[in-house]
Amino acid sequence: MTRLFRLLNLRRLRRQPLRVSLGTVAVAAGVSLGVSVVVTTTSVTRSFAEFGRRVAGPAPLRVVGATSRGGLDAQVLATVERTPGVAAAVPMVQAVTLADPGPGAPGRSLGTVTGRTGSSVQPVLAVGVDCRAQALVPSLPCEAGSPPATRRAAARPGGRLEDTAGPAGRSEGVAPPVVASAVVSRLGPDGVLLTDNGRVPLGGALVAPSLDAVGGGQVVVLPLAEAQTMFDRPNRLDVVYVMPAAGTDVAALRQRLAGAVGPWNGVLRSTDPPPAATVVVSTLIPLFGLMGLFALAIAGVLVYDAVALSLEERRLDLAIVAAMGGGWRVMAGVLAEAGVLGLAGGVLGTLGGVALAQPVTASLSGFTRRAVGVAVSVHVTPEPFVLGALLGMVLAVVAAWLSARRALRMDVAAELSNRGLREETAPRIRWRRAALFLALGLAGVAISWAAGFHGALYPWQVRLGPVALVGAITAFTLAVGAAAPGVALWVLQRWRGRNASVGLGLANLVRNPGRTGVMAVAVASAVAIAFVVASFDLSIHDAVTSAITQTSNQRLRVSTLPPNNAIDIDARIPPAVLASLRRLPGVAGVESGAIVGSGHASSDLIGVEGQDNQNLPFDVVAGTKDRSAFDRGQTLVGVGLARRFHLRPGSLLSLDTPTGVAMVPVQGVWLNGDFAGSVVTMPMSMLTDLYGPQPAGEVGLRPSPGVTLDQLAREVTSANLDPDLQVQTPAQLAGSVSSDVRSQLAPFWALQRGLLVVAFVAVLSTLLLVGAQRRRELGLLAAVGMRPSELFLMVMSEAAVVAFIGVALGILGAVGQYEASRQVIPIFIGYKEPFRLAGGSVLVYGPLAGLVVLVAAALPAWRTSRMEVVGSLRYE
Amino acid sequence: MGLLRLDGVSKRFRRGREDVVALDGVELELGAGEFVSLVGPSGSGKSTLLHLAGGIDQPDDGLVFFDDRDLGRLSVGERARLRRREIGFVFQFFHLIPTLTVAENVGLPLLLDGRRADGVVGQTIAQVGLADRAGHLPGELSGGEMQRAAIARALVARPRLLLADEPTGNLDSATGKEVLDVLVTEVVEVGAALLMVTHDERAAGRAGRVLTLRDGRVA
Repeated sequence: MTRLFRLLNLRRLRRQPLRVSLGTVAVAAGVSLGVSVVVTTTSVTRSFAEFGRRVAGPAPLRVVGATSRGGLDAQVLATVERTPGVAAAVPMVQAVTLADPGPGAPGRSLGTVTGRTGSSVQPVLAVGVDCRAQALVPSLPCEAGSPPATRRAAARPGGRLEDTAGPAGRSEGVAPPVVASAVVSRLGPDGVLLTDNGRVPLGGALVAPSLDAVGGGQVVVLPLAEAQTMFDRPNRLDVVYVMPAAGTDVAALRQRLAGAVGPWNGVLRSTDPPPAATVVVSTLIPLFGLMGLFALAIAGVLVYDAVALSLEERRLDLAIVAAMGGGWRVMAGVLAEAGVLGLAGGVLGTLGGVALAQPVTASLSGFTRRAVGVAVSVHVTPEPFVLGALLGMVLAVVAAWLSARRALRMDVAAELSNRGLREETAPRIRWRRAALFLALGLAGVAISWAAGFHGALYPWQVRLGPVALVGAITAFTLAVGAAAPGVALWVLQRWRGRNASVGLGLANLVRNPGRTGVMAVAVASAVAIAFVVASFDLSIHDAVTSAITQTSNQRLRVSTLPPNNAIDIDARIPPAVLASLRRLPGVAGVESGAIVGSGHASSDLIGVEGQDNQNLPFDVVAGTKDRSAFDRGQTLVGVGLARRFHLRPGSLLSLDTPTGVAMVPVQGVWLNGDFAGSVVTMPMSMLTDLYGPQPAGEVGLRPSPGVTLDQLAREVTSANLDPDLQVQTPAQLAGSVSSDVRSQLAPFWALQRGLLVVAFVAVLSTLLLVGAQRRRELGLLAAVGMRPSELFLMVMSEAAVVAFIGVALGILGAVGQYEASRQVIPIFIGYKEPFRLAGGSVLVYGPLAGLVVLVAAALPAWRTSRMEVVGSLRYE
Repeated sequence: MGLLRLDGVSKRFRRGREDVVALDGVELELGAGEFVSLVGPSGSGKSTLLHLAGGIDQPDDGLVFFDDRDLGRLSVGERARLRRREIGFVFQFFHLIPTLTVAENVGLPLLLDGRRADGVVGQTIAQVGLADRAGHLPGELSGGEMQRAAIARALVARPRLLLADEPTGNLDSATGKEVLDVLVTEVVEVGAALLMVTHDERAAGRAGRVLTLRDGRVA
């Protein structure tokens, strides 16, 4: 059997390196997208686990509070220490803030991470510890009353908190911080740490190179008391790490601690990710995974096509082997051959997946650094390689199975006597099938609409939505494949009598509807993804602009923070600056707002928004958004929260606070997309009652009568109250928020690039294989007088028509896919974008896809034009 | 009883919108070691009859027996095993696998049957006079050599029945005679029955019995 496989299959692979390469690349293209999702997910999990291990050292558990910043009442520490089985409890502040290179630093002009204009500030994690941290790090040098960070210690590998080195020093009466060398190298000598109470120079800080291994190296360690002061956590902590006594069962201790600290606090493993980090990750990964599956399906079709063509090309060989009694061995050989190709493609695809995971992970990391101060880096483990290889093999074998079964069912007698050729008739163009898929796609859109109706408040809608979306996307894609040959026929009928080469190319497309469909689908998918993403890009911009115009109309935004995804950054407006703002001429009033992340596990994370603003901008899907009721404490909840806790108008929402559980009344459910819809909005005074005074991250300045926003902006800027203070009009704010939100579409653009590569491979491999299959026919065309240039034109015209059909049908299908996505995505993000079609993107991505197709067709066309006529006529 | 028996065998094909009767109630019997030629005009159903006899096609009506076994009652796998062990094919266009050497082509039936193919392959190749061409690919052989390789492949498993479909039809007369000599000699050598379709009257004349097929019937 092995020898047979070697003779009939492996030898063929060896003798056809181009075809093997194409098959391998087709598998790799599909696998890479799937693997990239796995690599990204693994990277996120591992990055957080690694961060947890680095910070916690040997402590297996941590106690966290009801909110993401300063959520633990300091009294909880004593409760933890008293719990039986606890050897030590280590209090810690973990604040995410910003580090600024200072005014003189080179490169300060660009703010790539925070979106801030005129600054390259970076998110950093500020950790506050005291001598109790020796329980985690016994070697930590510490004298009573002194913060550990003021002592020098020998540098050790491993990146734990004790590894400090370098000169000690003080500045401006603040205990010197200890910084990772990565922070120093990034910021330079004039670096400054921004806090809720002003700026802390980092120039004299101790440098700890081994801290570079913690959280991506963007870490600053401060004395605990200093950190509590600078980050506005009076008597509050972020986390208490727990060291169990020797012989204590950790699981049992976790249960005891959970009972002791109260249900509004939580006891987590040290390596569990912070809940705030999971918001974008849990939203983006499923969507990206869905698209990865879609790409995998396209790759499956590609592989199927490649295998089918390859088998078709050797039909006679298979017939001979079957005539000699080959039987199932033919099938086994073909499947094994596909398995070898799949294995190679799978491994290659895994490498591609790792490469593709880089931009996706970088995009996620930008968010997690701002949310929890932890950078996510790509972690490559053996699992994706095993998975990729298996995925490639399964994909190739399944694709080959269908072709091989068909090959085995061939009429051997007809094949051996050339009767098969005589019986070849014109294939039927299946408009009915295209109409059926179109109808299914439209049904998918209708079901998506039902699933997303009123923000999907009911669980059945959540279950139905993704199914309807996948169904709609699949049906529209298949409709493109089914309709493409018909469109080619339509073009052919109108071409008759003109250029013969083009006419022959069109006839080839009509004659092979399956292949035409595959190529058109590959092109259409790349164009459709571009069109859908560009349309979302446009609708996001319009939605953000509309919401901000309603919310911040005639308000000047003043903040020290980036405008989006910055709720946990502790670099807020210092109280003195806020007071100065209130006194500025032209300021009629200052409206403040704050957001608190409540909940200690990703499953119970709730965004709590407080606002003074008079506008309630989002659409209500249940109940009311009555302003006077709102001011009386009747809250509005997002659809995600309403769905999760079955909240309706009149319900009471249970909220964890640092001091216990509070019940707040709900007046309505609205489409507020903050925290992916898991958000409750209340008056600012109510939030302060529940969570204590909150430092203002941003405020809205109301201009006095007769003062324009531009005049007020000039007034604030010229007052020079704080170097980090940003001033934005509603239009500027809308621009920066939409730009930030749109940057989160980067992974989808990466996917689109991947699909363009898939389209390239699809067209290249299909036309090459078709060229090989039609060799005799092409030889005949040349023999009867077709010039090489005309043969070249024939193949290129096939590609051009496929590109045209793919782009045209792709756009039509994309409209349906976009609408289905627009209806279903709000289930995940809690906000519905307005319907906008990015028609302009067609002008960019249509020609781009066409160019890709023509480049892909150039090699097959060139080979066709250089064909050796006599040899081709003798073929077979 | 004969080795091969066709009992009222009919076969129809669909060509476009038209039904074509290839065989119409054919009766035929071939004894062990017998050499029968089948002649007839083009399109009379000769090749179809051969395919039915070899079990690579199924009749629409009638029965085909090989060694008293009704081929219609055998599974696809059982028919494949029968062809591997009991039946050899020689085609007009040789039908050698272009990527395999002569030796590999000849050894293929044994490999398919899971048997070792070392000594007997060399011996069979030598018997057809291709010992010095064993390592060559089909593309490097002349037409006569290719057909001799095909004969060797058909005989290597020592079948009881050899079905030859115009084995000299694609060769010039001198080469055709040479190939036919090899075929007949070797068939006699292994003691197999031979059913040969041919247009060549001289070739047909070497058979013990000549049957004529006309309009799908044995005349």
